[in-house]
Amino acid sequence: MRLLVPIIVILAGGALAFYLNSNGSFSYAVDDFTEKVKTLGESTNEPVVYRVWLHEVEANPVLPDGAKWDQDGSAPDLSAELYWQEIRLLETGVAKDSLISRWSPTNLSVGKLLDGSVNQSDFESVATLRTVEGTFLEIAVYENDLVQRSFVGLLRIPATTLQKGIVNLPINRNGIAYLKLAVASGSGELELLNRQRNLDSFEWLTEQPEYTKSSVERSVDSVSKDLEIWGAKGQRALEQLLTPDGE
Amino acid sequence: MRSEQSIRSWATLAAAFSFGLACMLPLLVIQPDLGVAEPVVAFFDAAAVEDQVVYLIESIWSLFETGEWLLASILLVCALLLPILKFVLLYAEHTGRPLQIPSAIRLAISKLAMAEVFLIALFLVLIKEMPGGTSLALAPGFYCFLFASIAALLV
Repeated sequence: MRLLVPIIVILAGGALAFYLNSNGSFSYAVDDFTEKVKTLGESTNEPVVYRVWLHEVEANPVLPDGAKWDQDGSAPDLSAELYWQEIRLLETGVAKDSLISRWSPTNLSVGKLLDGSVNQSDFESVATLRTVEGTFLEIAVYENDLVQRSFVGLLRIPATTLQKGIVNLPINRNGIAYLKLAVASGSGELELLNRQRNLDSFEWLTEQPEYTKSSVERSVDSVSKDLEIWGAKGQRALEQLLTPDGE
Repeated sequence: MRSEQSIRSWATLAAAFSFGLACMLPLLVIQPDLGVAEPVVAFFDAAAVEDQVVYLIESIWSLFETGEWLLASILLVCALLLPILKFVLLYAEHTGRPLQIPSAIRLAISKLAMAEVFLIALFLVLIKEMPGGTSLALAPGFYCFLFASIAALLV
């Protein structure tokens, strides 16, 4: 029996390692440790350059008012744009008919591949930004149909809250359940840490800011406003014509 | 004398526990780096550019599966079975009731159980020689293994 003690201890060590591996906490701990060693001695107040992309968006099956996303009953066709300082840095493709939409940070261009004029940045579909105090990263989410896209909402997070890994942003508004933002170091390999963390310090805007509108959308808005003005003027003129003098 | 034996037996158990951890934790992480060609390779075979985690037991099993019976057997005996036997012998000795085993066999077990260190060293050298920018990072399991081996030597 005494001789079994070391064997039991070995099995206990193995079981502990298996448990740590299976629930994922171990790999997060290793990532954290590696990251801390890498950034040892670096000041945390200094702005950092990160490469950011939209990793995942989950939409609810129906909109908050119970309506379907598409008239044919299919799942939404979501796309998004990333802004920093009101400047568009990245536009994703349209994820067709998906409740859980995912985008890759790499983008293979066959044209560039064939003509041989390729470098690392040509393959990356990411937004590169600096975490300057007082600036915000904004993600505008759109639902696309055949002829136009409609604004769903805009997420605004302070740039200084960004850290390497996956940032979970629970929305639960306008039919969007959550967003997952991927953040990687500003240079070198486009490596994404397993580490995930939830972020609550964000704003969700339902009013579309002017700078996120495309030129077509601005033109349509402008024409609509002109029509409203002209309509009001016409109505007044008509009222004056129909009103008898002296009344 | 009694307390020294007690310390040695506890140290043996600590080494055994670390050995158990080492068997199940990742030993190495292979990080492929194909430079500008990486996205192209990823496009055709995403798994080829992902980090690969190497486990001791998984390595032995994959060697068996690929027909490397001899290497797998050596690894199984030297890196798994003999170290366990060595911990049993050490623990029995440090608790004051050593097993009656000829000293030649005891010495052979002690020496062969260290062969895993050389196998890992060989493994490291082989991967370091791989072409391209492929790098190799040591994972915590490797350090547990190292600690288990060194602690076993010291006690």
